[in-house]
Amino acid sequence: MVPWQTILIVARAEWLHLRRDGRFQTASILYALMLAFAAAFAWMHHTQVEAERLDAQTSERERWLEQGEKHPHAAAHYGFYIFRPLHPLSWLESGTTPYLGTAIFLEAHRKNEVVFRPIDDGTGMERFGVFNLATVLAVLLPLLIILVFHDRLSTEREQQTLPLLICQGLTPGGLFFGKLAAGCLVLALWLAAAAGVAATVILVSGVSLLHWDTLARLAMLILTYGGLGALFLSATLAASAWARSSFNAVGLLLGFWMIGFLIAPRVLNDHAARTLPLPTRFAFELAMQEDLNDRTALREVLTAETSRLLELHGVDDIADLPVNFRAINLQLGEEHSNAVFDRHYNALFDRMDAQNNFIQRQALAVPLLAARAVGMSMAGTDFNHHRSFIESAETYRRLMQRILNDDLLLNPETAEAPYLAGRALWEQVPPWEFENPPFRELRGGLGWPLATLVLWNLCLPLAGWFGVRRLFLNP
Amino acid sequence: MITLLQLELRLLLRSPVWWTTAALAILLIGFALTHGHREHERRIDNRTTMFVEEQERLATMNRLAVDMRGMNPEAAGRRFGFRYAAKPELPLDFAVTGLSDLQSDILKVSTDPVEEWLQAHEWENPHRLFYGRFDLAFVLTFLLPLAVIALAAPVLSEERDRGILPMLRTQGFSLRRILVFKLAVRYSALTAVVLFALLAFASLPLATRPLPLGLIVTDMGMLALLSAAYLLAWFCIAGLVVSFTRGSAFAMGTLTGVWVALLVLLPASVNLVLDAADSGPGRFTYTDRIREVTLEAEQQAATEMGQFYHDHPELLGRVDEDSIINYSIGRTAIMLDVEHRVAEMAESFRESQLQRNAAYRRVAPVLFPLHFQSGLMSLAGTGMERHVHFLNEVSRYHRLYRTFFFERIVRGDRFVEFHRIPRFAYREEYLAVRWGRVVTSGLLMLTLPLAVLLLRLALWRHDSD
Repeated sequence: MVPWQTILIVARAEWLHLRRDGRFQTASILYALMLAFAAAFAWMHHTQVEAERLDAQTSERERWLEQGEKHPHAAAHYGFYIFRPLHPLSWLESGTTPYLGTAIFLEAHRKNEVVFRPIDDGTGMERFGVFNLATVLAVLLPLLIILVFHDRLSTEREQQTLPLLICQGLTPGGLFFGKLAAGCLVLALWLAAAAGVAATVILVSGVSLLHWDTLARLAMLILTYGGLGALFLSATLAASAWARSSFNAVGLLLGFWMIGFLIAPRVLNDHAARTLPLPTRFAFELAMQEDLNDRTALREVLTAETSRLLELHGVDDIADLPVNFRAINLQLGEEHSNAVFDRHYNALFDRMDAQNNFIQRQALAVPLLAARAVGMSMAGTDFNHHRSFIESAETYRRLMQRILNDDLLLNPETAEAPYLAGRALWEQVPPWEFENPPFRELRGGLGWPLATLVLWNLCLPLAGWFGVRRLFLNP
Repeated sequence: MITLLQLELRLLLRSPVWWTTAALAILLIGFALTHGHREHERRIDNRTTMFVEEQERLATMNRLAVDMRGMNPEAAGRRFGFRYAAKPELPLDFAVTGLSDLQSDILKVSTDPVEEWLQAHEWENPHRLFYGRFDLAFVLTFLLPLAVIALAAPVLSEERDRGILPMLRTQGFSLRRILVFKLAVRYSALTAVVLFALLAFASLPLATRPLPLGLIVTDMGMLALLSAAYLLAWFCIAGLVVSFTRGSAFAMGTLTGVWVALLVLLPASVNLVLDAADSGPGRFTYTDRIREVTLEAEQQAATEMGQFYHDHPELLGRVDEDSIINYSIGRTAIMLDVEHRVAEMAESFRESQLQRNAAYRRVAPVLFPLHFQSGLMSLAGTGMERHVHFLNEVSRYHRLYRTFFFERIVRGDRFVEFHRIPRFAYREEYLAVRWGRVVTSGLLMLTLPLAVLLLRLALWRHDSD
């Protein structure tokens, strides 16, 4: 009999056995209930928050357009809030969203911070974790796999059925990979249910699944958690083969799960924070303020620009220039502070990125961290997406200032007759729109986590196979 | 009884599970406390640097103000004279992170509205906030119950497997008595190890804290009691499960299920339901309304100011002492008016938050680990209640600080008194209030598991094996 035929026969027998197993049925029902619960409530919350955000954003835009006649620089300080939109898939995995601000006030001279973190308005219970589809797939699914499969090989020995199987000519590979194949079928069914629930909710919410980016993200998210599930399946069968009893196998697997789920993420994050510390807010603000106050370079640029303009227009006094010199002053001031903001904030965010990369490299031993990193990235709820939002908001703020200052430049004024702009100018500032980074840009940062998952998925089946070979030598 | 004790001790001392569990408990508690101490030291260093900067800045500004023959008090109060208000230390704040990684324990107070400086949190990687820290609270709340599961799951089934159970029964010990006795011994042993680890690893950090010895001893005592009560609650749950099951693997599986439900699934699920069911205004709506109200107030002020200059055209465009004073007064008045209008809005938002918290409290008695966590945070002063108290104290100080500057703005003074700007003086909560919260949490935590186990033991009629 060729090996794949053996695998198929074992898989079929295993599947039959699983279908009659009460644990499998209970696990499937529990899993389905959890999926439905997580999807329904997380989506409800998501739509509620998004609707509120859209209302607030529309009101802000209206207020901006209806602000009446005023000096462009007064309008620059009048400013407006922009609110971070949630990614259409963020209800699947809320990730770091509760810990990040949701609104940012855009105005002249200042790069304000993103404020109003959802966690600040919570009950404090959020620290115990949040419940969503990713929780079911990353936390509950491995536990269900352990529950259903922990004794699939050890019972063959405990119930003395192994010698019978050996007598029938079964090979270690046939037994292990046959059981693994049946397990993969179960996993595929469970994942298909998760994908089905996710796709249904997305379709109901009006997001097109034909949109390549959403589809690719959803597929990658499900596949990643599928990879994590497959890894736990291999680990469970391997432990079942190696452990002396089912009790020991459960203990070993729960230990593996707890280390991956509870201990390692905290230890590694703390370790990263110690190895690559962030500046304190106080030190950060002090250093930035010092650079903002240092206007030597700005003065030089301003002097050069003044000379250039005076020469260009053939006049001796700024007051005689056909343009509004105040606008030039304001714009150069903006550019000076923009350079300072970029330097300091980029250094801070790069350090956070470095911490995250450091954790991913250290997390080779903790596949759950790798899976969660990919999951958050696909759902648009990791720090990189937040950084994109901050950068988009800042680019928009600069555009807004540029439009207002350009208008002021063309409208000279005096103290007696200040220039007032109106709705026509406010409309020149386009409505803010945020595009999440496309899927193809995310792939680069996911190499390490995905490699971690692949590596584990290659090594664990081998470990299981060796375990079964050992069982065959000493049945 | 002596026979049972001897037997149980012999079993325990020969069990590799016991030695592994005890060693891990000591190791993890030691690591958590040492790690927490290091983090705390960094926070204290930062705080010291900030107060040094405050001293130097105020001294420099004082010299400058004297040289300039005084400066505008409005600018002094907003930009140069700000002071730091810090939440004072408590003995165990290094051990329990609680909400301290989300809340600022040092705030920069100026005449600006509270909202301007309240949102300034310490920089932290959001991924670290998401996963949480490895602190004592984490070890006690999440990991110690696993030690309880490992020790309690094999109770009775161990005796069954070794064939000792019938022998014990022939000596007149009922299953109920054997179960209670064995659990009591294991509980005492684990509690002793945990208390030893707490004392051993907390002593060094506590010895370096500039706090009254009485306070340290009492807080440590409370921590010991709370931890012992939490372990007891888990042993009660374990006893309940073991009394219903016959195999250790099944007991272990069930207890792990209870652990996952109580510490992972239920809190997160309740939170999700509360989020979805919350019909109150969210932050977006709140921000939107605040903006509306603010702009209305500013618009009204601008109209009134315009009317004023229309009536007094001679004042328009003047940049002299009087016009600066008028501008400062006008700006302050607008700020206060906006705050007054916003206060009503903020109150309604707070009301909605309180309702959410009340809903959470209604379901909480079932989730006893939450009460333990809450008790730990109350004890360490890193929970919501002490932070709210701190914010109230800062608000009180903010009013004092503002009054100091507003008086001078209205009088039109030239400001030179940087050395006289009031300092933040924190009035700590009454100890009885804090300890009361800890005791309440402890009682709430213990009541349900203990009652359920006692009820089970009282009704346990199945006494054969």
